Amino acid sequence: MTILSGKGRTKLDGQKGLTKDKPILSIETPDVVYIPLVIGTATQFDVLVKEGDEVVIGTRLAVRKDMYVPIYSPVCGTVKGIEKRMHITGRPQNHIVIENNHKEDRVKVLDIADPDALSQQEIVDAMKELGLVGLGGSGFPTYVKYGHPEGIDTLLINGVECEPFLTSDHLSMKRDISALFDGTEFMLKAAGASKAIIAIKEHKPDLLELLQNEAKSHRHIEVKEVPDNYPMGWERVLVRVLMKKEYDRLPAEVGVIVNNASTAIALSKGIRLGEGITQRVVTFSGNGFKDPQNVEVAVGTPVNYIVEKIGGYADAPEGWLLSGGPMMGKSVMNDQFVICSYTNGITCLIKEETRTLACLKCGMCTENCPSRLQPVKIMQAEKAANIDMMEKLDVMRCIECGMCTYTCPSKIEVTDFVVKAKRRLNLANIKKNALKKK
Amino acid sequence: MKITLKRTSPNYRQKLSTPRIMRDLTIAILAIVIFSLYYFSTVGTDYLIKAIEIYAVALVAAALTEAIFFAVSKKKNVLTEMRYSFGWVTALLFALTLPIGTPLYVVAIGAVIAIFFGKLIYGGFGQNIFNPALVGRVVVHLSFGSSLTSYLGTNAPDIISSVTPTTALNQTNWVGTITTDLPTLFTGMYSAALGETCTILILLAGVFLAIRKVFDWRIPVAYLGTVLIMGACQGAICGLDPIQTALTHIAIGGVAFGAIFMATDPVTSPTSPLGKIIYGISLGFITMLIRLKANYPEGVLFSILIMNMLTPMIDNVTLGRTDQHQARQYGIIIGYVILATAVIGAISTSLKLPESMQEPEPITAEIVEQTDQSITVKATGFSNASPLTVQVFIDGDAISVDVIDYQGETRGYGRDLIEAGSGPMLNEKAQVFYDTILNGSFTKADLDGLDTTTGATKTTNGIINAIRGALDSVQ
Repeated sequence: MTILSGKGRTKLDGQKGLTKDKPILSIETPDVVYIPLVIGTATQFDVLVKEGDEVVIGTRLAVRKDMYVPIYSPVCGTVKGIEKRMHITGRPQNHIVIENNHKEDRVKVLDIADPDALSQQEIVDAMKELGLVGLGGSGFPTYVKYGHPEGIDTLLINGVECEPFLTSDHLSMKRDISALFDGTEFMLKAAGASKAIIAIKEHKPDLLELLQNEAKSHRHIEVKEVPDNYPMGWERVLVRVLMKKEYDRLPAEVGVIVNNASTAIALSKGIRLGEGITQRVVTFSGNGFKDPQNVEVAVGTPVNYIVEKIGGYADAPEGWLLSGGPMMGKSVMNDQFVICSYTNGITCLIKEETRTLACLKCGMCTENCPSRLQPVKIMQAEKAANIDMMEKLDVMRCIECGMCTYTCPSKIEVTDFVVKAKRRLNLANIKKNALKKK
Repeated sequence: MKITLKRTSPNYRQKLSTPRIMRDLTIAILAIVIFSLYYFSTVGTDYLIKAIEIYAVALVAAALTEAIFFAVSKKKNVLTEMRYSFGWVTALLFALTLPIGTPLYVVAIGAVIAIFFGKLIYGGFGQNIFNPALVGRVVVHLSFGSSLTSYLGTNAPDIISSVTPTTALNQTNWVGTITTDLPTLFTGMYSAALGETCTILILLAGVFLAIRKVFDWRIPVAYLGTVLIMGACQGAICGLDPIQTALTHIAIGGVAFGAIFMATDPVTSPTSPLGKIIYGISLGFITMLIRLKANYPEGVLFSILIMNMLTPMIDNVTLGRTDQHQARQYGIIIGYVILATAVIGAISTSLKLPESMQEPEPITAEIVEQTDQSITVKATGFSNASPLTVQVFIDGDAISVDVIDYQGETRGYGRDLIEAGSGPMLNEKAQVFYDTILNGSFTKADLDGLDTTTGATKTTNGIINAIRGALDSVQ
């Protein structure tokens, strides 16, 4: 904390104890899977299969149009067509429906003869062909980060997982530790970086010991602990705390590439075993589930199927189902949606009423904003529909991490006001650009 | 369980809530209230009862005003509205700014004004522009100022001085000394306003409140820090001990109370960190300005009200991200402090003791009585205010003296010189002086070449001046 800004991060009640010591429950694939034709906000895909086609595990199903990201089948079976179904984005989206015949036939997504002899460019091509996306929740195509790796000297492997309840990365790292380091080595080569740092939160002695032991045989990889704060897992905060550097838009400006730990594990499995991202570990936690735990499920498995397998919901009249953690996860109106490759947690919270009081202009939101914005002033600007003030306040920098609402003592939905302000400013800019073009 | 949609995120909240903040603030205020009751119990039971009455009247008046207002505004649940309007905080803070002699009807009027005109007409909690307790206080001050005495009845009892330390220091134009010493000013066992005396307790309450995140530490640190710097500057320029002066400035006049309980009110202060620092520095500057130049002891209350007025403007100019243009932000802060201190320094050069308190000019030799046998001369020794009176007997060439009044001389120095010629701080020349001049007779020739650096040089020189004055008058 300086006298001009607050700390920008704070300790939350993580409640990770609910799931972190339980073993990962492997759930068998359902009879029907639904593969979403959505990655992040992109919905334009070239679909390569049609109704009636037989597919096996690893068959290429579709390719994203704007940035090359192929999607592979997680099960063996018959394509039934394309259906609209509720998606984590909160709206019905197109899904490829596959009827599962529960066989184990598979085809390799990548067939690399000598993985250790891959060149820098070949590794990046492998990322692309694998359809590797940010498995920490962003879904951003990984190969794009390595597009222009000039001047990168450090690779940060993000094992922080700062969202409350989520423990999927923690357990994946513990289980696949050699794959984690293997993937890191590939990424190091792809970036042309000289060293890699695996970052985990402090107060995790079991994981730290495992990682440090493994790091002994990897000269360029070290393990570092970061404070147990939110949003420590955000790139900007991680680079700020670990490397004491500030950048404007991308970490590459200060010579850093950040990738999630599960992404590194998936890269290793893809290159060495030819596995696509067909299944993943997801944390089902929160006081809305009877028995919170981590599950390993196939991509495309509906959430209601998984909830039944883990014991169902808690006894309460109403609850919210969030895709992600409680801070940045978005509420979905039913449990029909499916797990996609970058879903790392599903949180269910029993509905609680909060009483909102008047804003007392305490400035706590400003103290805790990791982007160093002034949410209370943005809220005032949004209430007054004042576009100029919003521009001066740099609202587009907000990543909607939720810290402002979390810390607000009057329990005001500050983040929501900032989101509305962003939309208003965006619309105003679009109008302005459209006018300019005329 | 039915899954419902929640349109906003996040779905997590910290435990700190506004009711908890106000509860912690109430606890801190009650600590000050209890101290005031303790102090007044040492003065007398009638004082203790009056103090309790003042708090009670303020609370009841505030509660009634709110209840009537909410009932008339047809709110659904008057008690819940009152609970989240936190009126008792305003009432207690208002009461704590009043001195013990305030008549109860004045307390009631002030509380009603504080709650109604200070808070409710703006829309209630969170919407007011001015600090409500101070609105009540300033109206009471301007309308009933003469009845706001720091004692009960018409005359101050022995253990309470009739003026507060602030007024006393103000009467010396801030360059003199007052009877209340610095440790007492910090422990607060004197009578000023009900709550502002015990500086130590207030500062400790401030630390407690800052840790509990009731307010932002930047405002009181900026305010008190600025007052300390400016106090030290004023002290240094006026020839006083800077540290003593700086500490005196924060211990009197309700600066500590204002900094911790009034200035930190989040509703009426800026939201951005830079805004808060500018606010705190401005408060320190205006407080010192009013104190030193406006001849008005209550600098704190007006400075806070003035800055409350400027809060929206400060908020408007501190837009942008808090980490942008950091060099410029630091520059503004440092530049402001330097500029403000320079202004205070310039003002301090014009501060002089009022005529009535000034030390008289030193007298070299003033003949007060002349008879055939002797000449009585007044001459300044050690103290300008209390000069020596020396009786000089001249008999031809033989001269002898008798120092008849030496009250202004200090024991251990001049007093010992006059009485015995030797003492703990005197050297061997003192004995020579005593033997030559004070004991027995001497001639004019003995005077010349006499070494007066005896360890009580001023006294010695005074006596010599008196003798020479007498000699000159006979010629």
